[in-house]
Amino acid sequence: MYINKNLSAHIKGRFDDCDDLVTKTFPELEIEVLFFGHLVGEEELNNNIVQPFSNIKNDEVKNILRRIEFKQEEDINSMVNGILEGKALVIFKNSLAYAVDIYVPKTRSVAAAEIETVIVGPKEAFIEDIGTNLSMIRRRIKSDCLKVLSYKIGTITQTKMYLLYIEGITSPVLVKELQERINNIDIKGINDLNQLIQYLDRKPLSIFPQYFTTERPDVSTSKLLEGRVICLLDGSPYSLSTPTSFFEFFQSPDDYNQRWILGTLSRALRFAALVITLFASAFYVAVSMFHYEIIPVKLLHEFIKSRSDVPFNPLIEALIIESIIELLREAGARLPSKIGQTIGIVGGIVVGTAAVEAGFTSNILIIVVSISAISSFVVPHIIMTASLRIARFIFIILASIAGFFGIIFGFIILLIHLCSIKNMGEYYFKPIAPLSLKDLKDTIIRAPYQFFKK
Amino acid sequence: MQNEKFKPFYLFFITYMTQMGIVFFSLPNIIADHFGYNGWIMIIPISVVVLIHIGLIAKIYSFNKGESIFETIESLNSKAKMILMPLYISLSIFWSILSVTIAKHYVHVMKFLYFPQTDIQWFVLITLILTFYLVTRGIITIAHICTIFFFLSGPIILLLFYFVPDFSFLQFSTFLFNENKDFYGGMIELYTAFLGFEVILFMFPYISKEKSGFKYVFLGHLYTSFLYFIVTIFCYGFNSIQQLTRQVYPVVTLMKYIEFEFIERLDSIIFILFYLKVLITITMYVWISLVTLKRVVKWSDNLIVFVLLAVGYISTLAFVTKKELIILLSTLTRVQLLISVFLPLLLLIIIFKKRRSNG
Repeated sequence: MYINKNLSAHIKGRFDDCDDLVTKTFPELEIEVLFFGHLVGEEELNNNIVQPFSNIKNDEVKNILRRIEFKQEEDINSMVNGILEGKALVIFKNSLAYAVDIYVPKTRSVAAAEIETVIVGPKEAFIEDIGTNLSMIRRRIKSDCLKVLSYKIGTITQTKMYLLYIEGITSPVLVKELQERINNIDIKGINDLNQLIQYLDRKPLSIFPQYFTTERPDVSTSKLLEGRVICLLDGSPYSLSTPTSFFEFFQSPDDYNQRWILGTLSRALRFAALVITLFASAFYVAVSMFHYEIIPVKLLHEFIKSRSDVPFNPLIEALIIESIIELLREAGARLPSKIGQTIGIVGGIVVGTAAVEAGFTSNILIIVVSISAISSFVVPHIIMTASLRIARFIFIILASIAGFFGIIFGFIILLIHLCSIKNMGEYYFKPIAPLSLKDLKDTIIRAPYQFFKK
Repeated sequence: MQNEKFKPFYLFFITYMTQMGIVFFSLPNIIADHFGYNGWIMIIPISVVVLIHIGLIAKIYSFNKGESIFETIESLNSKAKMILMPLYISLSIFWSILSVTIAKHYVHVMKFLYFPQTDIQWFVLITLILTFYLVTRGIITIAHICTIFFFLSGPIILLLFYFVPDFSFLQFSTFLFNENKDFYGGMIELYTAFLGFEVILFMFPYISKEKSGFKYVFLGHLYTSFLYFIVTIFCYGFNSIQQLTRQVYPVVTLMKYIEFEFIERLDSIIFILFYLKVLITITMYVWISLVTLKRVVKWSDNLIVFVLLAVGYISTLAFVTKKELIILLSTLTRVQLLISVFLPLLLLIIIFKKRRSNG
């Protein structure tokens, strides 16, 4: 839409009832400046607009408007969008419009990662501003092969999104496929990357996360170097990477920053934690309902003694304690960290001890459930932990139905499901299925870097 | 799904996992019963014969160049389809009955050992659900699952070291095949224990072409033979021949002997882990009946598998007791033995005929 007359009124008409729109006028120069005060930097405004137009004569205005930062706009929609993006729109003689980018995001500054903490390695995490996030990645990959494609998500929110990949490493098919999926998203608005990945999902019924998200720029960089595609979304302190494999969720930057033997051992520990968190409670239920024979005689005495006062069957008992743990976890997540500690003490010590003394549960179960809860937090990625917790409840119920056979049944279903998921044309359970010995060096174990060379 | 192929090394896992079945638990008993003293020696010649049998399949594979065997059969005569249709249907029904019977047999043993009060139909249904789920994922996923199951159940064999201190060569005695009851019947019985390799015949179009890719089938078979051999030897060295002939499942008895600090009576866990292997055997037979029936009807995979499993389930519904199941299973495996001998021979004849007519 092109308008040559009364431009200012048109634009103001679009922003009708938007009281936060600031209008600054220089009447003697016939200049009007429109911008949102909370989107622009004060210093930038001063340097680019206020100072140049102060104390000058009419004929100097054209020289100023010829400067590089003044970009002439002709389409009224792009003028409006420009203002919304934090540009100042300079209207000259009510007919010519120039956009000046003086956007300064008012967000928090870069801080240490809070969820994906590491012992050794860089501490910084992404923040809500997409430009800062992109700069963190550009700073790490100084190559012109790093390509950045820009998108707008949400018909109303027009949220900025970047798709990053490294030319020559990432397969073009993958980029095309993801572009297609992004273009197919049809929503009004989006708040966070974790919402976006659910729109991109092709297996919405699976309990497992289909995309890998991280708040760490160093992890995103290494994903790029592995040939994956990264997405950044404005307003979200996360990046997503795809294609994803199940085993990615068990890797931590610590594995790579520490010596390989330590990295390998801590990975082994995590897989042990995976097994414990999935099966420990279910195993307890199976043993106490069906397979008493596997407990050695010496232990059996204690086991029966602890169970003898409990009025419920092992399934109800396990579900009660597991639910209490879930409540504690949920409460801990919602509360400020100072009160959160109190919850831990109240929940862990008071409720736990009291439940046993009141004959509500057996103390062996308390041990089993606590170990499986602790193990679930060993998994470095919160999203995966949540999936595993769901699976754990299913296993407990299956164990109560058919003992070990029930557990095996659930396990087989789980494995078949994991093996049949494909993410962007790649198998989710790679490199176990399809088996690739070469890639096992960096999934189950973390071999010394010398071994990675091809 | 049609275009996707798997690497030949998966053949190792598929061959081994399909061959190894529930018979593993009763094998020493079968051998002791039929061959008597030092019957374990018979595993070697039978395994060699099976090796030759696999050699036939390897020959067909090299002639066929990745073409499915159905195409080979149908290429003979375009009008042959009229005769082939009923043949395909009866074969696929036979295989579905065979696989449900295998499932039922395993489930029966499991009920007998660990869940005495449960109705076996429940376990059969659960097994069929798993089979349905696995078969409908396609052969690539089946191959991947085979590999995972192999590594999950493979390390169990290391438990044999537990028996080394109690192993006694005295138990072997110096007699050879004394007190054998049915030598020839035993040979057939032992041969059927190796069955399962013939499913490879149906996989030709799915194997990605690689030089000497077929060697993995031989390796898989050798690994099965090795396991049969070593477990039987341990059973012979651990029990006397009289004990072996009286234990129905000597391998389960062997496992019951294991005792650790934290866990006693590992046998239930191991036996149920063995379910992974049995499931693959069942799945493979259902899968070959699926691909066979696909030549006849144009239904979706889900429907075909459902119909096949339902047919298999209903036709074996009457067989409930252990004795009935064993008789049924041994009859079916003998028929399967005949199929696995005559099918490759037929294919070879067709191939040679075709080559001659082509000059």
